[in-house]
Amino acid sequence: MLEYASIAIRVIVQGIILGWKIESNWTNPFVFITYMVAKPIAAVILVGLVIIIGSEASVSSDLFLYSFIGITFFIYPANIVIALAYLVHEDRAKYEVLKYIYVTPLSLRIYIIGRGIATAVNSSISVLISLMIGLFIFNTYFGLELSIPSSIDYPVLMSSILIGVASFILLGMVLYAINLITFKLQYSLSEYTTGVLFLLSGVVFPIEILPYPLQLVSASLPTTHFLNLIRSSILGYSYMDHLMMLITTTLLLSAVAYIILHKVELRARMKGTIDRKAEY
Amino acid sequence: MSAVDVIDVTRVFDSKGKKVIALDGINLSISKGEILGLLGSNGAGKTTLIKILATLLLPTSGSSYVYGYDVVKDAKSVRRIINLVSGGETPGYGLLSVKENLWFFSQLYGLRNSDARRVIDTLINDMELEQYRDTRVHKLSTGYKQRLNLARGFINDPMLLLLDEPTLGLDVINARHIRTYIKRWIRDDPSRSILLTTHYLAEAEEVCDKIAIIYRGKIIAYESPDVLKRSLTDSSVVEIKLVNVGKDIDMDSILSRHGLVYEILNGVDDIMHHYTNTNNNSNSNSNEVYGGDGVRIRLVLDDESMIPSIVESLVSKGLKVSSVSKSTPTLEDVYIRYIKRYDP
Amino acid sequence: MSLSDDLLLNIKAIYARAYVRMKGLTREPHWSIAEVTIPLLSLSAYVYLYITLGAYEYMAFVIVGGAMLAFWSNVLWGMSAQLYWEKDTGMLQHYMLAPASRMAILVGMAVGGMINTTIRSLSILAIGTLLFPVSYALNDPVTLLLVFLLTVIALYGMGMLFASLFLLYGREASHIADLLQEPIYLLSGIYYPVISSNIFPNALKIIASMIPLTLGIDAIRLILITGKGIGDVTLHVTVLAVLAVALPVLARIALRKMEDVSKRQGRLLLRWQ
Repeated sequence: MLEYASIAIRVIVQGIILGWKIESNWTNPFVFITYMVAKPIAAVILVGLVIIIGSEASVSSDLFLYSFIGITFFIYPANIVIALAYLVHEDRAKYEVLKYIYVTPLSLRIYIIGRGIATAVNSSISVLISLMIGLFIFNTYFGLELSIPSSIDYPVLMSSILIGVASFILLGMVLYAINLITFKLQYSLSEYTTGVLFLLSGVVFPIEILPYPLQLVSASLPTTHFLNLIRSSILGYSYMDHLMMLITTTLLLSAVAYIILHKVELRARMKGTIDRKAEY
Repeated sequence: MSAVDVIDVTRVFDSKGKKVIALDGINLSISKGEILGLLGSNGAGKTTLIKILATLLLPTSGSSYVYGYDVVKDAKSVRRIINLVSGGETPGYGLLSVKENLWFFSQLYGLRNSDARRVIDTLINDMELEQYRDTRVHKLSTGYKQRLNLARGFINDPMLLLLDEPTLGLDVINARHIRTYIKRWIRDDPSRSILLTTHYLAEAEEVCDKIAIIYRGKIIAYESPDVLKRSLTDSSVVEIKLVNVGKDIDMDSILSRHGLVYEILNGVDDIMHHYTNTNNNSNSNSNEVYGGDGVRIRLVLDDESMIPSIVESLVSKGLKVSSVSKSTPTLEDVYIRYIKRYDP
Repeated sequence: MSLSDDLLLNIKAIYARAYVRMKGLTREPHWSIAEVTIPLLSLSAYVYLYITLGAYEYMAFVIVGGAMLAFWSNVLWGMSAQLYWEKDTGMLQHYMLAPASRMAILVGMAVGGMINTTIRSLSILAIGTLLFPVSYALNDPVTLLLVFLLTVIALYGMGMLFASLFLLYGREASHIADLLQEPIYLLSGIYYPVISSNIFPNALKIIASMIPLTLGIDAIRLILITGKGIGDVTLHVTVLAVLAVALPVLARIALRKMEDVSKRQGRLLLRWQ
């Protein structure tokens, strides 16, 4: 058991190092930082501008902070889901290493967790920088008087991020599993998923605006509760309900992920898709 | 006019301040109707030369001509009369069928639709792809994809066909099919020519009229296979067959007593173990092949009188010699000899 | 080869490359479904945001912007990064080998892309209009068509220009294409007006106008949503016409230069670069 755990930790660490190296294997670190910062910053500013233009007369700082925090912390689920869903194509078709990873004694899932954690670490950097630069731009150039309260509940914030990242990695693993046995959705599956999450998780607007059936869907998504929990920890709202919902939806997701992964792995071995390249 | 003239071509790559000389003053020519084989280990410069002739890469210095056209200045004219088939690659669009992929390439060469249809039908027939005519390419096996790749190479009826390891990774039947086809293709029109690179020496021997051995960017041998093999007639090629050879037999130490040292040469089939003399001036070398029911050792010796003492050493170690016979040198023997000369 | 033979060769190459693109539409319908559904998801989020703000007049802006965004995505991924992917499959060297010009191959990609994307864009517009209570006021369809064509030609000219970056920068070009996605959303006013807005400084508006998408979206909104005509979009039409000519010309120059440099440096056909 101890040996297994030690190997598992090593594999996770290797996954993290590999994920970091692949994502940073660029011309130079400056380009890497720009890529990690420019895209998320642009998304944050986009949402801010929509609110400013749509508000015309005056901007509600409550709504602005709601959306600002939402779009910034949405970086976590978006990046992790995209990275893990795309990982199948990368490892199977592009680098052709999947079969070699698969035949090692340890589970593929451990490796995927490592890759997911690497993405989460990258995302944390993006989130921090987006928060700082976003606030600076909106306060300086658009005359908003936004500020992050000094009384942030850090334990709740950190717990939210940890549980949230766990749920996003689980979701990413489900997408990984689907892409393992299909070829048609290699690129679109992650886009569909992030699109649905963006629309239904209350990222930039409260879910109460949605038609009621969609609100029910929103309530079942971990991302909805993750973002609400983040807002609660930063803005000082009550958080217990959101925390319980995040834990509940994450546990449900872990059960779903476990079942799907198990079934998919068998199917992938049956269909021989673990080392099959889809060439288009 | 030759089909191809390569005059003093050098190509230097600059990678992060480190210079790599891929080709170093190469001179060769290909006559019309000729198949020239370019042999060399990985990184020797074969593909670099092919790419220069294919107008994909510029030489650092020197000139090359394809049917009189300068590959640098008249690239457009060169492209009309050449084609390239790279082994191990299967270019084409997976969502198009075999026929559609060939049609697509025919249009890049400006074939009229009527001509294209005729050529495509012929090629599909020649490559035995009829049953896959309307099959999407992504569903084909590697062998049939490579047949399609080869068919694509003939779509414009090129004057010069550049074949870069065309049978790489193919099974025996597909490889043989490709070799047979290219020999017939050249015979059908003696104005055509082929430059073929390969690691498979038997393939080169079967197909090529002339062989150039390239080593670290330089041509170190350039003759017909027969002339190259005759260059070893001052040596004796002897085959000794041993039976019941256990894997624990230390062939190295047995043969090293006769000055034959074990080494594996780059680019040669892994099952061939080569023994060369510790004296670098010696031309002796040998190799062994693990056959189905024993071991065959090939010895290329300067002095035939070494044979009895070698046999005696083998027998004294309990090995059973079932036959000793003289053999003609193969292209592989030639290749190893030349490489050893430049990289002792 | 005579000039007319050359022209015929290049026309055949354009047709052949466009054919491959068009076949993708019918043989892999899930691509089309994804390229309509995915933009609709984010478009809807912004519509709901405007609804939250009570700014209902911007709903149609978002739908038109979202529909036009399909072209930007196709230009980035179907043009600029396409050659990078072709390199991975070994197709690129055959394009370089063939006597047809590289420009003809790119034009073929552009033509095929334009046709496919127009179908998708119209689908997004139609579905968006059905989902949300928006209305239009089209009084000058001829100008609308003119603006649309000029925008698309200029955009694909830009795509061809970007494609030449790949030849030099390889993998970095793919990341640059990715990098250009969101900043262009910002500058081109996909989800809000840029040119007619008073929150952007004039200098930024001028820079944004160099992107064909910005002027195109603005003009299309003016014509389709607010019922304006040619007289109100003369400047847009003029600048777009200039871009529609200049960008393909620049693309041709850049493509030749990049190809020459790549052949000298030997970086043209390296996979995993």
